[in-house]
Amino acid sequence: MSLVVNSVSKSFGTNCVVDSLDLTIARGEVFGFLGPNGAGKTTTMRMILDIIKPDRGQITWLGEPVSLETAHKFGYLPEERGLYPKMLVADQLRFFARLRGLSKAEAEKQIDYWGKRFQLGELLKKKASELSKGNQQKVQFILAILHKPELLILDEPFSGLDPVNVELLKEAFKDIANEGKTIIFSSHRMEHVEELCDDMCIINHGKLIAKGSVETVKGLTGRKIIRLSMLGSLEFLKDFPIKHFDQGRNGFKVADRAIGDVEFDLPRGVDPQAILQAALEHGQVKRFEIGSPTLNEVFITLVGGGA
Amino acid sequence: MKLKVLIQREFLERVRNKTYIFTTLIGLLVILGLSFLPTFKDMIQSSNQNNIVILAQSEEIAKFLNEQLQDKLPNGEREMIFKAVTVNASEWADKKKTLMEDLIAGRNSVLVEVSPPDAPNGVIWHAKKIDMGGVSSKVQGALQQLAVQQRTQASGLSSSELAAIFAPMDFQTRAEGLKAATAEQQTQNMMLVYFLLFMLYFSLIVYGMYVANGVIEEKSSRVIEMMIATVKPTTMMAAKIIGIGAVGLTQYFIWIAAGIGLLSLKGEGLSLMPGMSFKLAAVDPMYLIYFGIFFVLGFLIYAAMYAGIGATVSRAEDTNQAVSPMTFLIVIGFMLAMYSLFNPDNPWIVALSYFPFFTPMVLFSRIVLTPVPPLSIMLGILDMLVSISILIWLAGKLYRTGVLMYGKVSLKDIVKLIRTS
Repeated sequence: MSLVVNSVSKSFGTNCVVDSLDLTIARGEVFGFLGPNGAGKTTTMRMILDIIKPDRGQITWLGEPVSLETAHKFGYLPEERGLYPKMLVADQLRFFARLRGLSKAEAEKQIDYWGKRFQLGELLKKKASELSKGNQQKVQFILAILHKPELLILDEPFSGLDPVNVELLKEAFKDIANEGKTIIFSSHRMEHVEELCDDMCIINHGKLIAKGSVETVKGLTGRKIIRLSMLGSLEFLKDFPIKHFDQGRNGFKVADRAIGDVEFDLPRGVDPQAILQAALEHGQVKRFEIGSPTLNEVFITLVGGGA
Repeated sequence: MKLKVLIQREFLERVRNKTYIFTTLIGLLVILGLSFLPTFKDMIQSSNQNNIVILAQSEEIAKFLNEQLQDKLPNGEREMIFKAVTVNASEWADKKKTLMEDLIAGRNSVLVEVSPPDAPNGVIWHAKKIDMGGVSSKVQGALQQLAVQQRTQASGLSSSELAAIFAPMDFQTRAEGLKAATAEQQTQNMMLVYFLLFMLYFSLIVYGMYVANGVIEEKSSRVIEMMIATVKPTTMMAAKIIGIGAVGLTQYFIWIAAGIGLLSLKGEGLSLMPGMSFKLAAVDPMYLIYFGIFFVLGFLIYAAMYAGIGATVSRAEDTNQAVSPMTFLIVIGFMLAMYSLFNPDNPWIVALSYFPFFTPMVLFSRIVLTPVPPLSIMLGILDMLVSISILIWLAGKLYRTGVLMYGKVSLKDIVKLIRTS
C-alpha cells in the first residue's frame, strides 16, 4: 500500500469537515475520489499534501508520514486554479520546475515536450493573465506533472475544458497511469470516473460511504436494473410490482405493434427470469439485460439518501 | 536551493516591472536635477549685475563704494558697478531728469541721489523694483560707514583711535557635547539625517507595500495553493522579504552610485535645500554604515508585519485598510525623527528611540546629531533584533494559516490565528 489515510479527522471551528476517514490506495492505482460539493475532498487532498495538518489520525506514503519532503514526489492540481498573473507562462513553468528540484536542462526539456503536446506554442511567451481559463488549466496541469511525480493529485482536472482539451488531458492522464504512477482524482463527471479509475470511493460529510472497484461501488445499492427491448406490448409488465419505469429513448410505435424499450429497477423478490419468460410470451425480445445502475445513479442514491 | 529560486523570482519579476524601472529613472532624474541645480542657480544669479549711478556733488562717494563693495557674482563678475555723475546744485534737476529716463529705459539699474537739494545730507534710492534688503542695504551700510567716518574725523580723532573704537569683538560659538564642532557641520549633519530619514520613510512604506501586495497577489490569484504544496510558508515569506529588500537596495545602489558619481564629477556640493549645499567629503562614513544597518533592520521589522498582515487579506481592495497600522507607525516614527532633528536630547525622544518600531529612524537621527554611547547603540540594535525575531515568528504563524483563508479576517480572528496555530 503506498498511500494510507488512517482514521483522519479535521475540523474548522465546530465544522467537522473530515471525520475518521480511512483510505488505502495501492501504488500504480488510479483512484477516483468522489463526493458532493463540500464533502471534504479538497481538505483531504490538502492533508495528503501536508498543506494542512489533520486534527487526528495519520497519513503515510510508503510507510512514512506525509510531509513537505514527501510532497516533493507528489504533483498537485488544486481545484482553485491559479498562476502568477503577470509572469510569463514559460517563466512560471521554469520557476515551478526549479522549485521541484529539476535541473535547468531537464526543466527546458519537459517544458518543450509538454508545451508541444498540449499545443501551447506561442502562448508560452505570454503572461498568464492573457491566457483563457482552459489554457491556464492546461498550464497548471503541466505544472503538476513536470517533475514526474510518483503520486498525482488532481482536483477536478477536467472541469471547464472543451471536449478537445478534455481528450488531450485524458491521454496524458492515461500515459501517466501506464507509467505506473499513482493518481488520485476527483470529478463530478461520472463517465470520466468509470472510464479512468480502477478503484474509487465516495465521501459525504467527511465520512466514507462507499469504497472499492467501480463495479463494487455500482453494486452497493443492491439495485438491479432490467433493460428490455422487445417487439410487442409492454402491458404484461403491469403484472409485476415495478415502481416506475422509464420509457427508453427509442420507444416508438411501428404500425399497430409497439416496440418497447424500457429500463426499470428490478423489484425485490422478483426473479428476472420470470420477467424474461413473460416477455417472450408477449412478443419478440431484442435485448434483455440485468445490470447495475450507472455510477451517476449510484452516486445520487448514496449521496442523496445520506443527505 | 528552493530559497534561491524563490528569491530569484521575487527579485527578477519586480526589477523587470515597468513601474519599478520608471520610478528608478525618475529618481535618477531628480538626482541629476539636484546636482545641477546650483549651476542653474548661479547662471540665473549671474545675470543680476547692478549698474548703479551715483549722482553727487563729488566723485568721492562712487569711488569709495567701488572700493568698499567688491561682492562678486557666481560667475566672477562684480555684483555692483558704481558710476559717478557729478553735478552742482543748480543743474541737479535737469541731470536727474535725464538719468531717470535712462533708469526707466533700463540703461541703468539704480540711480542714487546723495545729498540732493531737496534732501540735504540724505540719500534717495531710485530703482524700478522694491529692493528687499539685497543690494540697497549693502549700499546703505557702506554709506552709513562713510558718514560715521566723516563725522568722527570731523570730531578730531585719529584713524588708529577710530580703528580701536570700531574693532569688532571676538565672539565664538562652540557646541559642547555635539558631534559637530561647528554650526556649519551641524547643519550638514542635519541635512544628511533629513535626507536619509526621508529615504528610509519612503522605502519602508513603498517596499512594505511591495511585500504586502506580493502576498496578496499570490493569494488572490490562488497560486498560493500550488506554492504551499511545494515550499514551507516561512520559506516563502523569507524569500519575499529578502527578494524585495534586494529590489529596494538595488534601486538605492543605482541612485547613490549615480549621486556620488555626479558629485565627484562636478566636485561640488549637492543642493538639497535652497541656499545650502551638501558636501560629500563632509560625511562621516560611519553614518552611512549605521544607515545601512538601520535600513536593513527597519525593513525587516516592517516587512515581517506587512507580510503577516498581507496574509490575512484576500482582496486587493482591502489592502490599504489592513496595512494602515503599519503606515501609522512609520509616519509617527518619521515625525518623531523630524522633531529629534532639533531636539535630539529631549528625554522623550531618547526613550522613544528604543521603541523598536521607531528605532531605525529616531535612534539613527540621534546617533548622527548627538554623541550616543556605543552601548546604547548596541542596545537599540539588539532590541530591534529581538523584536524582529518575535515579529517574524508571529508573521510566519499568520502566514501559514492566513494564506488559505479567504473572506474577511478581523483583528479578533488574527489573535485567534496566532494563538491556535
